[in-house]
Order: sequence, then C-alpha cells, then structure tokens
Amino acid sequence: MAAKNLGIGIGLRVPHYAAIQSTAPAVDFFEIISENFMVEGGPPLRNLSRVLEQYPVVQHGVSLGIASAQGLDFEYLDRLKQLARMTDTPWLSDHLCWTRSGSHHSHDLLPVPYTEENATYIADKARIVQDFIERPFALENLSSYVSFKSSQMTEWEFYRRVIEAADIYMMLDVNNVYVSSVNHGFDPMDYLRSLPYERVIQVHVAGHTELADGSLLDTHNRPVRDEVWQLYRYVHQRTGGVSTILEWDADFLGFEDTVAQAMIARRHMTELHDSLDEQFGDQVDGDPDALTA
Amino acid sequence: MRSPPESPIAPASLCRLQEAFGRAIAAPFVFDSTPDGQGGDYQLDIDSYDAELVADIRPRGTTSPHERLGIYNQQYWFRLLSTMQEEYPVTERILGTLEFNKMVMAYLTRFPPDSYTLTHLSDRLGQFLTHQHRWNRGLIRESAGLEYLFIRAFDAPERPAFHPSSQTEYHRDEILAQPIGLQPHWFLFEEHWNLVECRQAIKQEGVATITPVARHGHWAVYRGPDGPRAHRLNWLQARLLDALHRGTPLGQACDELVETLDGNDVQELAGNIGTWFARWVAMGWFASPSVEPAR
Repeated sequence: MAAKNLGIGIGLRVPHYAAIQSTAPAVDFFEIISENFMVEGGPPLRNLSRVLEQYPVVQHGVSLGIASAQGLDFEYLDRLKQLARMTDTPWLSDHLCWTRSGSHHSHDLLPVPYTEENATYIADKARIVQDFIERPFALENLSSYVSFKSSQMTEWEFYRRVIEAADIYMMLDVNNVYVSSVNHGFDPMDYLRSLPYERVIQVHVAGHTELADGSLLDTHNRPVRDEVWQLYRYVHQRTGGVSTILEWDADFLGFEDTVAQAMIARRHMTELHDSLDEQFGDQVDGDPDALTA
Repeated sequence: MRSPPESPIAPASLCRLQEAFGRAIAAPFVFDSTPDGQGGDYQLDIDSYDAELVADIRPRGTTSPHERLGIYNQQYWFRLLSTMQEEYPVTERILGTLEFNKMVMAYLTRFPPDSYTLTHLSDRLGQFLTHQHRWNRGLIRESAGLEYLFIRAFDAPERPAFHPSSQTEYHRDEILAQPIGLQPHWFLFEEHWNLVECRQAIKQEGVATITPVARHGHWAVYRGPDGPRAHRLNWLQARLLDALHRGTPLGQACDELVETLDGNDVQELAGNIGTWFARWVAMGWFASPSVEPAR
C-alpha cells in the first residue's frame, strides 16, 4: 500500500452539513467532489472549512476528463491544486473517462475503446497531472453502459495498463465493477483478480438501480447490494485494508442512516479479520480467492 | 514561472469517436405534446446517432447499440434539465415543466455547457431569450434574470467587509470621496411582477403553482450567512444603492440624489440614511473602501 488507510468515510454532500456540525459523527474521513469547492466564495468553502477542523478530507473530481481528446486544462488543474492546499488531501482522484468534446462539457463520465494507443495517450496525460498536482493521483474505474467492438483488451487490462504506465494509483469503485459486469456480461472476479492491489489507494462502494432490461445504472441512491459487499470483502483482503468511501448522492437518507450504511463496511472488515485469524492465525495473506468460494 | 508541459496529441480515432458520441448524447428529445399543449412526452432521437459510432457499439441481450447510446443521451438531458429546474423554479412554473424543458433544450443546444462546473450552465440564458420569439416575454426574461442573480450570489467572491469601526481609521472626507464597494455577491433587482415572493413561496412552502401579479419594486439579492437572500428596498434606497453599485462615491451619490428629490423625499433621506446604512453594513453588503488610512 502506498498510502495510509484513513478508515471508513462518506461522500460529503450538502444535506449532511447540519448533522456533521451538530453531532460530529463517528466517520473517519470525508470525500468531497472537488469541483463543488473550486469556487470563489460562499457557503461551499465556509462549510468545507468547518469540516476540515474536525476530519481529514480527500478530493475526488468529476471533470478532469483525462481521456478527452483535448489537451489538459491547466487553469482547471491550477484551481484543483489550490483547493488541495486548503484541504491537504493526501491524494487526488478522478475518473478514467472523457467528459468533453471540443468546448462542450458533457457533465457525464464517458467510456473509451480499450486500445493500446488510447491507453498510452491517457497514461501520458495522467503522468503529467500527477507531476503537476504534486500529490498521488488516482483514477477510478467507470461504470459503463456501452462497450466498443474496436476495443483490443478487457476493461481491467486497460485500467491496469494506464495506471502502471503512468505510475499512478487506482481509486477502485467496487460497485462500478459490479455494474459493468452485469451490463457487459463478465465475471467481476475476473476483473478483481487481475488488479495490482499495491496501487489501490482508495475504494468506493455505492448502490445502483436496475433498469427494465436488466441493465444497471450507477445511481448512488440505494443501499449497497450484498453482491457488492462480497466483492468489497475480497478487495479489502487483497489490499490488507484500504480507505473506503460510501457514495450516496440522491434520495438522501437521514445522516445517521447514511453513516450506518458506511459502517457496514467496517463490519465486513471486522468479520473478515476474525475469519482470517481463525483460518490462518497471523498469516493473513492466505489465498484470497478462497474467501469468495 | 514554469510553463505547463505540452499535452500529448490524441489518437485520431479517439477524436472522431468523441465528436460523434458528443453529438449523440446531446441530441435533443423529440417532444409529443397533447392537443391542448399542456402535457406530453418525449422520445429519444436515436435515428440521429452517427452510423459509424453505432456500428462500433456492441449489442447486449435485448438492448441494441442505439438503446445503449440512448442511456447516455437520456442521462445527459436529465442531468441538465434537473439542474435547471432546481435553479429556475419560478420560470419553470410560469412556463410549465414541458415548455420549460423545451426552452432549456433549445438554449443548451444553442449554447452547450462549456464549463467544468454546472454553475455556469445558464450564463447565456438571458442573451438566448432576447433572440427567441417564442420565449421573449417580459415575465419570462424577468424571472430568468432574477433566478440567475440567485445563482451568482451563491458563490461569487467576497471582499473584506466594511465595518463601522474601521471608519475611524479614515478621514470622513476621504470616505465620502471614495466609491464604497458593494460585495461582488450583491445585485440590485427591479421587479415588475411579484417574482421574489413567488420564489420564496416555492422554496419555503413548496408550492406547486404560482400566479405572478404585476407589481413594481426593488430588491437587493445578496449572499447571507446561509446562502442567497432577497431584501426589499424602497425607491430611494434603490437609487442610492444603484449609484454606489455603479461606483459613484458616497458623497456624490447623495448630492446627485438630493438634486432630484422634492422636500419630503429629502427629509426622508436625511432622516433615515444613517439607519439604512447601519442595517446594510450589518447585512454585510459593503466591502472595505480601498483608501489608505489617514496619516
């Protein structure tokens, strides 16, 4: 592991502010959407300052668009870096996707064909980003609804190739692995078995929504499904424990219930450790695949 | 300062794919209105998707490549429409949701999002409306204008506040001669309908329908401790604040205003200006003047 395990946290959203200030909830850290705080003044920065007095905060972005065919936006990166000075985020992450075509921002996370030349192009840009922001930089795997015939490799091969070529980190979204596995018909364990876990710096878990045709949408508005927790247990074991964020972005629960959802991750961690202790004693690096059998 | 490194050049195939994909997801919906024009539904215009792009997308199960791409097309518009509905609740209720969505789609097709943040989504809505016969109505322009001020007030910069105690550091004459800056999050709004009250009824009471009535008045839209607010102004206050907002020094603004007033109004101004200023300072409207302390 390249980074400290911050424990269990939740994505910081506006409906949470009042509860955080009045109850100081027992979460270990918060994750912010960077772009929501790359502003010149007002409530966002004031609220963030208050949270920073009590908790570590990590930054997660949605608009870098590392795979966009346009060059890097250094004005955007400069503002990102300024915010990082305020939060002192131990790392920064964004998504392995494109977000704009020309000057048109889609405000969505869009997939690319998994080709050698695309991997090289994205890795070259990601390396520049990490150098520029002067902090560890991680890319998150997407949930996607299309796959391309022009792809030359699997998503997990592509993901690994970009991360290793750029010498950056993985922000592994376990729910996204599950959603894409259903949408594209692959075994999520094939994905998870292939990852270089020494590069996984943080994990996301979240809920999703099923469409009429059986496809899944990554909606972040429902409890994490058991299938996803099973995958999480595997990832937790392979990483030896990694900073984990529950994302909940719509149809908000009460804050206490949101925290309770996040704490399910802690229960899985504890159960896993107990189970491993029973099975292997001190040898917690046993065969990880056995856990999912 | 070191210049940023050169970005790598994207593969040509990636450029082509993103251009076609970008056009597909931004393809406007086709609306089917009911005969009375009050209701209706929409359909994705999947036939407009680029054929080469569609041919590169794998079908899966019963879902065709068109339908897969349609998920992104739908999500793109749902995200933008829901953002605009949240930011423009008065305008949406005046137009009705279907017509509002048509207006937003026409606007964002003409002026697609060009910022990494959705905060700037409606920066050119006012400009768009003035060139659209269908929506270029005073009530629509005014409600959209008001709601845009609330967006800008939310996260505009804040300069150091002007406090009465700091006034002692300056000569009174210098204060009167200098423009007193209003905060960048402060805006003057002139209404011809009771749109601020309509907005408050929606935001605070959750009312589903509104009936704007004609009424002339002035409001200050500004950022309070918890977010944007509106504060009603009388016409004297509005004229004075408008002059200050335009950069007229306080002394000159008062002199010019007095010249246009009759005796009763002069009395009202003279009798109340101290109280008004104290209240405006307390609400954080003024930024510190940029005069040097007196030696």
